[in-house]
Parts: sequence; structure tokens; C-alpha cells
Amino acid sequence: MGDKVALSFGYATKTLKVVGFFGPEPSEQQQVMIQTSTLYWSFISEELYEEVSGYVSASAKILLKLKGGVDGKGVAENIRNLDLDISQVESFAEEWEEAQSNVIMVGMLDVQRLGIVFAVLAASVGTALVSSVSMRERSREATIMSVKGLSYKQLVVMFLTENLAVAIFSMLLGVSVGLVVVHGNISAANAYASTIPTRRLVFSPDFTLSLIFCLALIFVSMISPILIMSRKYVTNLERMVRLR
Amino acid sequence: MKGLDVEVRDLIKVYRIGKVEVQALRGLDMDVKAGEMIAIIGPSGSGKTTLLNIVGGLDQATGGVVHVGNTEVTALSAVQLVEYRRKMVGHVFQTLNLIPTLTAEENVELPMIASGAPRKHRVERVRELLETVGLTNRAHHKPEELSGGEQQRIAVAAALANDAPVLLADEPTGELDTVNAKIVVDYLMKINRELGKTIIMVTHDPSVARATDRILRIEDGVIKMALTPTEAIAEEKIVSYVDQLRARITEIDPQLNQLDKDFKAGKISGDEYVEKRQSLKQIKDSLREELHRMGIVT
Repeated sequence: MGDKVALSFGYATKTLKVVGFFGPEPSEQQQVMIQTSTLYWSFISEELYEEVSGYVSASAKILLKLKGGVDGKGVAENIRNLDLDISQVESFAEEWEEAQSNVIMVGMLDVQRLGIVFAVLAASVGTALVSSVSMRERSREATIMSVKGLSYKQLVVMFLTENLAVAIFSMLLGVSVGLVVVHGNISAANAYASTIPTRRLVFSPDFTLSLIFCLALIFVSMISPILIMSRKYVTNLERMVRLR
Repeated sequence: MKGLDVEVRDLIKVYRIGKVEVQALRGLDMDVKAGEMIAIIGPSGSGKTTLLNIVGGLDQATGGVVHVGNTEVTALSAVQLVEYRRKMVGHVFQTLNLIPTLTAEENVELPMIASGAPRKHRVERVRELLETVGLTNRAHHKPEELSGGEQQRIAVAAALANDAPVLLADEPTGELDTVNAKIVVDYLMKINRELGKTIIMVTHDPSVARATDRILRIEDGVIKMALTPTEAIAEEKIVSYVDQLRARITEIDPQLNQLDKDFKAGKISGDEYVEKRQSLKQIKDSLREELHRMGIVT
């Protein structure tokens, strides 16, 4: 990188600086050549392309990056309608829309979403069970504390404080591992992508809301048994004392 | 704070178990003077613990009035009862006293944390109370590292943590051997005399009851008899030691049956069931051995 290379285009010689490489590793080239030709694209500036286009017969793709919220499909359609010497207009928005109508792809995504829903539900039920078993095991402790004058509020705060540390650690661990896995998947997908736009992780409002909802559900699963069982221990104190 | 008068008038407690009504207390009257130490004796199921639980703010009465000092306990709301338990009464039970994960000093400190006492005061008070019950050297020990007698003494210290004027002890010596039982009772007497606390103690042990100022015999939910220790000794001679042992053995069988029922109904855990059953069986076996030693075959 950083090396200068002199290239002759007809009678003109251009000195180019290598700023980066694009394409497969030499060892993979043979295999990739058979798969797709799109991996031989090079990115050069528009000015250089205009300068040398008279000497070389190269086809060019112009990459347009639209601002967020712009209708990509409409832009592609407008470009097609312009009287330009453009052989083909590819739109990621159109490809995406097409993918959405692809039953196999959408089906896979739906199955993935369903899996997430089940995983979150299972995690919530598991959390609620662990929390209630833990509270049941500590009934003796809660009874002694109530007898000694701890109020319902004090009991709840005590049990919550103890469980909250574990819950927050678990949630952070879960989210971190999830992000690492998603990043890994995206990187793997991008490594073999045949489209110019690469995949990336976007925290859309829907995604953020879903994430918050999942965390809230697990949190509620943890605190519900604490609230319910602490109330039970406090209100049935006489029975709790008698049964011990 | 010095002890307070405890006045119980026409106290009624009815438990409803499904459609069945069990009347535990049937218009019970009782007066305990400030600074007095009394024992409540009576057969199992006579209402001793129910009475103590209502006076201690752990249970609500169905009818009647309980006054502790100027406080009408039976008129207190659930929230007010929490405050009452913190400040006015200290409880000592047979077993349910100490949190196993906390050390002796932390167990004593707990009621003061509940009442929001400042740390400096708590530390000072814990030291003072452990000194009172003679367990300063056991401050950092967990309950499992203490003997039964020491555990009960720590429980007494914890019950006094917020300087409650009334101490309620429900069979505090029930699981102790004679030597430890005497030590615990001596400490209770010391607290009664030196600190002037009112102490109401439920017990099955006549020797423990005799250590108090007055003995109340409760039967079928009412106080049947009030005796002085001297009168109790005279009455006791009528009932022989052998009869008492036999009576206690007879009491254990229904307790075992009740335990089986509670376990089958899922009211108690397996561990607790095994622990309690073994404990009752041990008591029963030791009572039988005692009879055997006396040459009586059961």
C-alpha cells in the first residue's frame, strides 16, 4: 500500500498510488473466477475514469449512496427514465423488496423470528421459575425478617437488590454475546457478498423496542415472584411461623 | 424501655380450614403487669401459641381486645403492626429465630436495621446485648457454629435489639437439654429483673414455668388456672413424673400425624419434613428410654 504505479493509457501515462486492494486473495482467485465476475470490480474516482475512458474500454458502475429515508426504488426508476448512456441500473431497495417476496428467504427469517420469540419466552419462564424457587427456599429467612420488623417494602428491596446484580450481569452478557454473534454472521455474509452494498447492523426503532421489550419481559419475570411471594410471606406471617 | 402492662379481654380466634372452623381461643382474659414474667402452660392445641402470636402482632384476632401499654394491638393495621413488632415486642421461638447466613452480631443487628437505627448506635447496642447474654466472644460465629443454648441466647439478644418492653417466648427451651434450658431461662430472668421487661413465655417444661412469677394454665382456648410457682409445685406432685412423660409421648403421635398431613398437602418441604420428623422421633425415643430407665415398659 502507498506504492506508486505508472500506467499508460494510449499516449498518456498516469501515476497511481495504491490506496487499497479489493478482491479475493490470490489463492482464492481461481475458484472465485468461476463463481462470479463481480469480484473483479475496482473502485476509482470519477475524474480518473473520465480521463482514461477514451483510451480503455472499461465499463463502469457508479455507486450512489442515498441518505437515510430516501426512496431508493424511486431514485432507481428516475435514473432509468433519464436519457443517459447507462446499460443497467441496480437498486438495492428493489433487490430488498424482491427478497421480501421470496418465500424461502422470508420463511427463513420468519422461522428465525419465531425462534427468538420462543427463546425469549423460555428465558422468561426459566427466570420466573428460578426466582420463585429461590424465594421459596428463602421463606424461612423472609419470615424471620418479617417477625423482626422488616416491612414488605424492605423485604422486596432486599431481595431485589440481591437478584438485580445477577439479572443485570446476565442481561449484559446475553446482549454482548448476541452482538458478537450477529457481527460474526454479518462479517461472514459480507465476505461472500456479490452485491456492492454490504450488510451492517442497524439499531432501527423497531429493533431497539423489541430488544427493550425482551429485557423488560425477563426483568418482570424476575421481580414478579419476589413481589408476589414477599406479599404472601408478610400477609400470612402467622401461618409461616406456625409451619416452620 | 421498661416493661408494659399486657391486658387481654375476651379474645377469640377462629381458624377456618376449608369449611371447618377451629376455635383456638374462646373469650380468653389475661392480665400481665409491667415487669412481670409469666409462663403459659397447657396441652398442645390449647391456644398458647395463638395467644402469643396475637399479642405479638403476628396474627389478627377474630374478636376481643389486646392492650400492650396504651397500644390497642387488635386495632392496628398491617402497616402499624410492622412498627409494633419493631418497637414494642421481641419474639423468641423454639427454632425460627436466626438467619443461618448471618453471624450472631448481624442477627442481633437486623431488627435495628429494620427500624432505621444509625450504624454507630447499632454497633454499640450489639456489643451491649451480646455482653448481656454472655456471648461477646461468639459475635462472629454463624448460628450453625453455636450450640442450641447459645443460639437461643442470641435470639433473646435479637429480640431485645430495639429495646422492646415486652418479650414473647414460645417454648424457648423446647429443643434444649436441661443444662442449656436452665442457662437460657436464667438469662431471661436476668433480663426481666435487671431491665424490667415484661416476659410472657409459653412452655411445656414445669421446671421452666416454675422460674417465673406466675403460671397460667390454658385449656380449650381459655385460662383455666393461675398459679404461683409454689402452688404449681404442690399441684405438680399430684401429677407424677411418669404421667407427664406418658402425656408428652401421647402428644407426639398427633404431631407426627399432622406433620405427615402437612407434607402430603405440600405445606412443608421434604427437607423440613425429614428434619422435624426426626426431631420428634428423637424426643419420643428419649422419653421412652427415660420411662425404660425407670423400669416402666411402654
